[in-house]
Amino acid sequence: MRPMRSGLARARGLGSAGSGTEAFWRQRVTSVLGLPLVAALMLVFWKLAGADYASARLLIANPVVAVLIAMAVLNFAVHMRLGARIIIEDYVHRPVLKAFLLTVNTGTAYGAAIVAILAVTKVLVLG
Amino acid sequence: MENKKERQHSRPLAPDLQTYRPTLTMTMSIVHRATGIVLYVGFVGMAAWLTTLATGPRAYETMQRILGSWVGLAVLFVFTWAILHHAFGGIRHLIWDLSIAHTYPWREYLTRATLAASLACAVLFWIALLWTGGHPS
Repeated sequence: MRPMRSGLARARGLGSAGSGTEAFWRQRVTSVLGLPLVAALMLVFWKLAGADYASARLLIANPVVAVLIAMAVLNFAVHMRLGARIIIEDYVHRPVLKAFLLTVNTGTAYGAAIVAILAVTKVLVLG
Repeated sequence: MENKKERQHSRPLAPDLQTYRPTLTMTMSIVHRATGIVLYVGFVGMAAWLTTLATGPRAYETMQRILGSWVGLAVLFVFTWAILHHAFGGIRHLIWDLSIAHTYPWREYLTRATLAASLACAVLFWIALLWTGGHPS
């Protein structure tokens, strides 16, 4: 029987969803990258405990610390968006509610990431 | 729209959380997801903290007062444990992804080890922090 799918579609090997294991793999990549990043973040957290405004600004304005926080924010925004997406897809089956929650998830994860990176950028630039 | 009776009879349902007897690895899998959600909230909190730092001393000091209260410190401790538990649990899942320690009893040892390590490290982190770290105020 002649297949309905085109040769290109067969070579790509993807189903009707049009995507494959990218989300799974990205979750693994961001988890491995996240390990050193979270260790560094905890060190920053340690340094910040009880810090007054001037010393907290000084620490976050350090370029190494600022870049580190920005990297961690980017990494974990991707990681947690994917994680929450899996939880929503596992437990929410009403199509409209699912679509709504998935949209809220994307907006919250990337929105918080943008806010955090802009805040760090402001502190970095103004000192 | 859905006919409940018809659905029950015509569709095979996968066994779910209510069907299986709880096991340690299963419980820890749920805890891994739960700590993930906690850290989602913590991430938004971190963005809020950075915003107060970028805004000015008054916003920052209000934030620090909230975080420095007993409730704030308790929340920060839970976040610390959640970070460590999700990180150690993540390492466990990465080990399993490599097809290592799948079988009994190693999977149980590994699971117990991540729980013990996360609790111990969280407590040690805060004892050390309160003792020597940070800026005394």
